[in-house]
Amino acid sequence: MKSKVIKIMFIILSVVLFSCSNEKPEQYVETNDDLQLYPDYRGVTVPCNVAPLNFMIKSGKQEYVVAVKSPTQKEWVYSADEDGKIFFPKDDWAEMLKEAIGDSLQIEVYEKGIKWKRYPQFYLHVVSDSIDKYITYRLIEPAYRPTGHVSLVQFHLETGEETTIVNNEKPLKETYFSGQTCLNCHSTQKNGSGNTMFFYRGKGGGLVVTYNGETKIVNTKLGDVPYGTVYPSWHPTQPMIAFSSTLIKQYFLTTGKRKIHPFNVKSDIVLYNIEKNELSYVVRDSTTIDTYPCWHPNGKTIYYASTDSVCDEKESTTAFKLKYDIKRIHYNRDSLSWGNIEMVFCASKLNKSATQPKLSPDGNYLLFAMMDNSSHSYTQDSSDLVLMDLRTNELLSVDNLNSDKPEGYHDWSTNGRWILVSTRRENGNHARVYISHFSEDGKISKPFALPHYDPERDLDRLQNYNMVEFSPTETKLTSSKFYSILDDIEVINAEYKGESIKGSVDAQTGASVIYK
Amino acid sequence: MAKAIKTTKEREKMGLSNTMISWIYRSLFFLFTLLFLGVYNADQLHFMSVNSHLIFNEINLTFILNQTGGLLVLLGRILNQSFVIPIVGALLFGILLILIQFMLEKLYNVKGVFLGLTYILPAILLLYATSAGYALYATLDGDFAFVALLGTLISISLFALYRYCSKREWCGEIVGFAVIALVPFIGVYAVLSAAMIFLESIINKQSRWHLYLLTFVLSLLFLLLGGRYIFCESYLTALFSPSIFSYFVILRVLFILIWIVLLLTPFVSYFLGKEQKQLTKQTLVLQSLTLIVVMSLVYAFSYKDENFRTEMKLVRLCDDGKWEEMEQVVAETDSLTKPINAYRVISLARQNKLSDNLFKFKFPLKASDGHYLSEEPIYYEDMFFHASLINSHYLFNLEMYMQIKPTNKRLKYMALYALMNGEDLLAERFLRQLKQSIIYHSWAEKHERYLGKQDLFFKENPDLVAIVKKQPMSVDLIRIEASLAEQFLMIGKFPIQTLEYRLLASLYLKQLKRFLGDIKRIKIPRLPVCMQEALIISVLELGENPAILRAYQVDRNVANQVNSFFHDLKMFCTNKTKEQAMGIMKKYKGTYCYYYMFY
Repeated sequence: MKSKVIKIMFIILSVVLFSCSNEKPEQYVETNDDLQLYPDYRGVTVPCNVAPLNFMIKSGKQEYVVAVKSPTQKEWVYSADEDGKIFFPKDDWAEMLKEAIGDSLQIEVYEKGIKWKRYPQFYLHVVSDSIDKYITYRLIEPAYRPTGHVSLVQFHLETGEETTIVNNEKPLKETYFSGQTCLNCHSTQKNGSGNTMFFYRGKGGGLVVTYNGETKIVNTKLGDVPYGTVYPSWHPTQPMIAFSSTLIKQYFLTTGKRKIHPFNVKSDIVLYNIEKNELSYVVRDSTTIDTYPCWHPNGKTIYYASTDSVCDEKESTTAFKLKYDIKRIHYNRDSLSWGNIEMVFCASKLNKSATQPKLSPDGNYLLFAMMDNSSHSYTQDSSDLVLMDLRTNELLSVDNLNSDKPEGYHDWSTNGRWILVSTRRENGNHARVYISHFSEDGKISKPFALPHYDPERDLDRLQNYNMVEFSPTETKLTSSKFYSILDDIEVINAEYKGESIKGSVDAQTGASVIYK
Repeated sequence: MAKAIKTTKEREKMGLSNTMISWIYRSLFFLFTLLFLGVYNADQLHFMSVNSHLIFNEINLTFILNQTGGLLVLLGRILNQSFVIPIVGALLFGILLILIQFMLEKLYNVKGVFLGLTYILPAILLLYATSAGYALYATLDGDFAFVALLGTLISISLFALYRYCSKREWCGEIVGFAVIALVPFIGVYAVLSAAMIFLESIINKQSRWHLYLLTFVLSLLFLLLGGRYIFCESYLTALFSPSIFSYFVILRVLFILIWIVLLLTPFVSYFLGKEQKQLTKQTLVLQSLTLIVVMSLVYAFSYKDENFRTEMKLVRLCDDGKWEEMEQVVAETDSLTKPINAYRVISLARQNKLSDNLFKFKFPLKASDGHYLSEEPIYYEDMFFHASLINSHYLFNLEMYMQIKPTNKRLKYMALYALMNGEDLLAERFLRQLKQSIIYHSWAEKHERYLGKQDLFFKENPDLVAIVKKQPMSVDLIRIEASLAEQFLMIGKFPIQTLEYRLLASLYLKQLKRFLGDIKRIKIPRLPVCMQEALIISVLELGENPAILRAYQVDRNVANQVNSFFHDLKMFCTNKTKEQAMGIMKKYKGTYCYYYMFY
């Protein structure tokens, strides 16, 4: 409530202080000078329901006028404020998008100097494909320290409004210090049910799962599953979530720009059944390290990253030799049993490592991150996204999505027409969210940055956008509700169920061998 | 019995004298405040201001305002910036303290000997501002000082407003209810105002006292439930908010004392206010004594840990790059704590005197007297920066600390890291933040000129060139828990300038084999004494070929001293007398062989 009031105050202030007359200059000269925009929305493709793409002209402290022209030649003219920021009124923006669906908005920027000059015009392409209303993410300093100020946040893509789902500002009773508890892995079941989960780590915490409106806190770190559960993937329809149960370690480097090298020492795939409160292994093999599970939209297969390399904690070089492949394991919904493990993409053959598989909602495409080694994409400049057509096993071009900085933590929108990626392209350190259109013929457009009301917001923010996901529904949980729950309900232990499955796969042929 | 002044003329005269004397006392107290804050506690206050985090952008302002009493925290943080020049901050603090005293004098309506009562609250506030001690190592900034001061001032003002308005029908009640609306902005101080108003209404037997009770209860509920359900703070934090963490008992006691004195205001006014004491020589003396007692108590109960004071001084001198003064300050201390030693090492390294002095210190390191969480964050950013370990691991750690407690000083180091490593896009991001601050605004503007112009940056900052030149060269793996010395041993390839650090790190960790391995790789024209001693110990203890002593031109006097040390040690081992132990300590303390054997 209070933050809303503050926001409104800021908006009113900026409108009152910086509004200028909205008139396009009649006389001007054309210029080919470099126009610096933040975010750079030139040539991006946007959904018909996106929030206003306000931007800032960084070229200098001049007076700017921006004219937006629709395909029907309707024109809107706005003056930038003294910081060079252009704010599109909500109603105007909605009208612009409506006018330009299936076509483009033409944008002209005029700068006042001794004479007015006009920069080369650019276009915003508007498509009829809508985008999910929400994305969720964790805001955390780039060091990804588990404690400190961390919050899980949702962003309304239609309004540009950002609201906190849960933060860790509540001080612990023992110390009176806030920020002592790690929050991570927020994820929503993408069937519109509103079922969500996240982890509130530490004393009195665990997996916080809200299913059918009921929230419970579950301890998933048990004797049989000794490592923390991370990287969730909801079953598309059933009350099940797949996780990695992973022991992660890290190295730091004395020189170079790469800050950290996290690596998995041990990792298995586990499944938590919410209704039965049961935890069981999906893949548990001492000869492999398996992580980042992702359910196929048909709910019959889990894709995951897996390596046969051995990681010896005492031998540091092994941590740099972990090359992951993408594999899948089948699930029989009738017999509730697991079947064959198959090789999907053998990145190790290319001396690369593939991780974070994400399937398009129609199940036809697989998007994953590929880099030199390891499974943690966010630390390596070499990490780029790769798109695979599962019908033909063909790799498609995704150059528009990639940069020379790390890309990862990607996701598909519910309708499969939009792809988001968390990328450090802006300065190599601070991860930001970019969203690309994925056309029916498999083409990926230039991505656009998250449309904050204040275009400078991502410049002012020193935190990273981590574990970003599309969410068709709003997460209704708030910090106050959550802390009430935390005080009121007991943490329950998940029940470990079943024997482990030992699976292996022939990396050369892809033939599967199953041991039960 | 003192002689009372009786005639009207004399009374008028004495009235004037009363006012004059009040102002004289006020001025004295103000002067005391200036000295106490601006001189005696200057280093601590400076630390409190440079380590605060005040960035004027929407994200940070929302974060500050979005807590119980957020407005007060913001105002407190803004005023806290004035402590960057401690005397200016002290001036501001003193003026507000005097304002509080003045208002209390009017509210209490006391004269004569009871005038001293009006100084109690300012005195507690002075203590509160300066008693955090090692709590600062956990909280770093010092918003709480001005927050408490402003909060108290607002509470008293609201009470005064009520008293003024209560003479009119329903006006007092309106003030009472308006106070409830202030809870989100000034937190517990609104509740205190409501409580004071309620108590006054009871004392004065007002007919609508129940309405004031209601305003008090509602404001308290608003504070507790708001803290619990809106701002998501724990019960206690909401109750004490905005205040420093309740981690340190002394601060909580002082904070509660502020409450008590505020709540006593209506009673003091009721019971003592009516008594118009006439000024006598006796009361004059008593008044003066009261003031002296108050000021003495402030000094007596003030935080006086000498190590802490030294640490604060060293941090400030390090910020200013005054290496010689740092060395001087350390030389004057009786014992060394870890932070003091860290800053000693920095000053020696920056003066290129490290080798000759590293082991000349007062072992063992004394534990600081505080229950703070960790002292490391205090010197980490300075220590690693000046040791040239300004790699991405350094940035990682700064970001890690930023996540726990953001400070403007850390942002400055992050900007420097990026500028020195040629990461302009990153530097731009940090400089942008600092440009939105008060203290570092001009610094950021100056450094913005260097974006894309690294040559200019180093040309205009030659002292930083030395740091960059000593950076490691090879890509090696380090562990996060590794100390500075351990990290130097993990580096495979480093410039010749860094060799000294690495050799000293080996000696510090008593890894003589590694020391020998390194020293053989490179020819050093003149070995510092501690390294010569290490070579002799290697020959004596590790069976190293004595030819190495000649090869490195080990001084005969040094060899004699080491031999003498081991001889004395042997004698001690045989006889084990206290005198022998003392003799060894006296004779050899400060040498490497003493360090090697005893620490």
